[in-house]
Amino acid sequence: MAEEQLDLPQGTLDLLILKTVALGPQHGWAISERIQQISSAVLRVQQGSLYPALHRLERRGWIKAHWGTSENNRRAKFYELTRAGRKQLELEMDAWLKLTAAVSQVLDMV
Amino acid sequence: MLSDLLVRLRALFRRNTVERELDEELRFHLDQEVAAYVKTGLTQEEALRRARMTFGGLDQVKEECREARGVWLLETAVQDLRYSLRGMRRRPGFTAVALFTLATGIGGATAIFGIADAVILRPLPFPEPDRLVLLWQRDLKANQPVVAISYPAYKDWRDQNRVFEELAGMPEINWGWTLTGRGEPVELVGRLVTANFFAVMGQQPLLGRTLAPEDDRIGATPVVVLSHALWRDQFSQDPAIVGQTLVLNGQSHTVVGVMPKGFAYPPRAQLWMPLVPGAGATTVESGGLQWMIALGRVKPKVSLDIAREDMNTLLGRYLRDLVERLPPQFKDVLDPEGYAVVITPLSDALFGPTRPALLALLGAVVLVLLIACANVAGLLLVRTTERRQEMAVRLALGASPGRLARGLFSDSLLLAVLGGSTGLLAAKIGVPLLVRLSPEDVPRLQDATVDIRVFAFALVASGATAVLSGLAPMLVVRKTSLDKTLRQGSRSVAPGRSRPRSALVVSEVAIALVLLVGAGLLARSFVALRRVPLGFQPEHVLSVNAYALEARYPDAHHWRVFYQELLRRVQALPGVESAATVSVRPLSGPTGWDFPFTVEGQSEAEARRNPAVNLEAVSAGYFRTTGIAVKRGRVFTEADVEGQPGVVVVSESLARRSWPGQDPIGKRLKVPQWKSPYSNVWLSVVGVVGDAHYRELQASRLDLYMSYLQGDHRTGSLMVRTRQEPTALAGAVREAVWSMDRDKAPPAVTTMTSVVSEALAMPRFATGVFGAFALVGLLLAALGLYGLLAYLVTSRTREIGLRMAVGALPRDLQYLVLREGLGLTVGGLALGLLAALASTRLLESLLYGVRATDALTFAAVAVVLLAVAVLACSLPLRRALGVDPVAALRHE
Repeated sequence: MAEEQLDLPQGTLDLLILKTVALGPQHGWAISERIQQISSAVLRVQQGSLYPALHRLERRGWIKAHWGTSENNRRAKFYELTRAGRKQLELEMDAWLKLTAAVSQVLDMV
Repeated sequence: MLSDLLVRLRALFRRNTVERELDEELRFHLDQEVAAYVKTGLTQEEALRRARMTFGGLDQVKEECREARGVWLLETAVQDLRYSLRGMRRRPGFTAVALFTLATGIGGATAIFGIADAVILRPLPFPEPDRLVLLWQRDLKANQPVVAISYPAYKDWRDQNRVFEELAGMPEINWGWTLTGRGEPVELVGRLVTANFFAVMGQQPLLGRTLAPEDDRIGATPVVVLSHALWRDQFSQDPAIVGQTLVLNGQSHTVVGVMPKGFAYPPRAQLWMPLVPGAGATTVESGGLQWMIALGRVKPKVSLDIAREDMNTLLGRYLRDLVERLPPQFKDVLDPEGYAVVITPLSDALFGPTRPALLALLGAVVLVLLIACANVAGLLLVRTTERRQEMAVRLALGASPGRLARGLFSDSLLLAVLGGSTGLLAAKIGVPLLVRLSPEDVPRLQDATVDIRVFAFALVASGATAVLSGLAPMLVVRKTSLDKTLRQGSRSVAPGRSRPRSALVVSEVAIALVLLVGAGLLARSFVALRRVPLGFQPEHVLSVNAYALEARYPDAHHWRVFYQELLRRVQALPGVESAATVSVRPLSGPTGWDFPFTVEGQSEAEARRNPAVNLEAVSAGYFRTTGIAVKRGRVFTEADVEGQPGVVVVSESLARRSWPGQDPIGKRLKVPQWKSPYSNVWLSVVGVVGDAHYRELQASRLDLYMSYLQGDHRTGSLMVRTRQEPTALAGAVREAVWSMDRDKAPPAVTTMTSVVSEALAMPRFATGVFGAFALVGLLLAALGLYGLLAYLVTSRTREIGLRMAVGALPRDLQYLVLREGLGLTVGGLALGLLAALASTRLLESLLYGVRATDALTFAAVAVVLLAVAVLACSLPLRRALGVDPVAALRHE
């Protein structure tokens, strides 16, 4: 574990999930692992909060779920990105990049 | 969005599957996590512990997932309702009381709303009814609300005004018409109207046409327009009726049209006939006779104030002009500046008399509903307090406070829905019952049913009830402190005094007091009305409308012959003590004939300040027959006939006003009359009689009597005093009147006692229904107080036992319970007295002979409430006194 962990800013969990799922169908545990790994364990995702977010995204139609078999041969629920979800991901990424660029620009300038 | 709906629906209808899947998904996650930890070398237990810690509370996550899926509202609502239902079934006593309370409150409110909606709330069924107004004039010097206008005045207004699209005219009242030549003669009621009447009302006919402009010209062929009801009942909806001829009062009239079903104005009119100047029953061109009202449709964007101003200018000009042209004997009785135009919206004119009573009843039921809400809120509050522990446990297990509040709300919602349905059922029965109990002459009342609007009202009332009664418990839950409650344990549930509940009881008592004061005032004014000296003795007196057909008895002489014969025949009936005729019988309603008069010695200006007199032409035996007391002098005899000096009998009030402190016998006055040799000549007072109520019970006027044998008086009522039970003679009297003219329908015979009772019908109805609701309010408030105290005693059983064990006397316990109960009652009384003082003014127009702030009523009601409160305290008190200290200390 890293020395310092950051709490996820409000609303960014959805973006991370969408981005993670964009690589291909994955189950909840894999998504949580992946976020942890890629962020080099800097971001702290409360695992419990992942599932309500997944269910919410499913309800919005951005991801869809199906039951499949996991790598260790157990029934698991896999999530994948829908077409609407891909569009949403682009939108949110765009917004995020603009925001961070703007914020860092301000930070650099001042 | 489709996916949204699908997810929600799946979650709702495949609840078990969805739950299982959620379970499996989360379990899979945890297993993976544990496996991952085990791989790093942890023991199975340690791995499990770690996994759980990083995951968070499993049940909380599940709950959040459910919420995220968006079904929680519906799903938990179903769950909550199920839970509430189970709770209700477990506590049948509580449920019964709460349901009864709500059903009474909602049922009563709904039933009264049904009545009020049909009668006063619904707009009139005419196009743009807000622009329809009635026009009268007001005699500024006389203390009378409105007087009719004359035909020439109407014509002037119609032609000169700039504020009405169209101005129609008609007599103030419906007139009777006898239909003959089609089987049995039938008595019909109709209204003469100017030809533009239907244009003003904005009505198209169902068949044929309405009146055309040429129909009300002199010499026009007589025509008639039929109402839908008449067409249906009398002519079996014959489509060929248009063009047929009807004989009405002996004259042929051509039917030109039939009106559609919804059109019923003026009330009770079965037919409409053109008002032709100079023809028919009355010569209408006379400037002096005031017998009409005008009905206008105000132009768009013209306010009533502007209309009033325009019309007053017109009236002043007309009257000044009239005085110029009048024959000299009329001049001194007409003051051109003495009149103002009165413009009344049609809806006010129609529903004005019943509106205050119905609004008062509506207010009363809303108050009862509020008490019912407070009561149920109190009951729910107790349950909530009892369930505090359970709530705390649920909170600890991850239920959100919102979820708990929803659970509580479902309790009150379920109660309100069940209570509301029962109430709706009660209203379904109650509305026809109220219609039957209410006075007959309330317009549109017969239409009152439980329809969609009433249903909607019940729905809204139930919803409001749910919110109001659920509010208090929710507030309590919000304040529930988790750890305190859990620590308190079950041993000390007793919360001592509950502030919100006390507040509820105080407001219940206060509202009940307002209701009772209202009922008390109405009851006192009803009693006062019943005690009004009628001035006549209604017992053993029959009254019949008896008049002769104009066609057959065209002038005063023939009329007298008709009546003398009629009186002879009726007096000859066995059982008849005496019979007499009078212009209009007592208590005939607010309209009648008003005449100006001049007392000998009065200047012109003084005469103008005289109020109008109610002139009654009577036959010799009239005062004996009706039992009007003769105070001085003599009454009329058969010798007071035309040709003899004109004599009058005056009422005490008229005598007092005209000759204060003097003997009125032999004094003289004059009255302008129509077609009479006694018009404007000095008439000598020969007798003084007591005041009688000829129009309404609430007020008596100045009465002036003349012999019907002097002048052109067409008396309309036959009065008969009988020796035995008057109804036994009704048939014989009817037959005798009918025998005078078989071309008329047999007349209706009523007893004067029923006439008096009818005059009291609306006050009786309002008082009775208001009183019933006030009693229900009192009962509910007492129940609320009782409930609170009973709960207090139960929850303090341990304390009471302890006190007794250490030597408390019954007196101390009495003090304990009474302080609580009576303290609340007195608080409620104080609050209620203030509220009543502020609100009974709204009842003022319904009161007679009692002020809205009548101290006696207020005091009496407070005492009654206090007594009921003591009663409500006494049961719990007895239970407290019966507490066995040993058992109490072991109590739980």
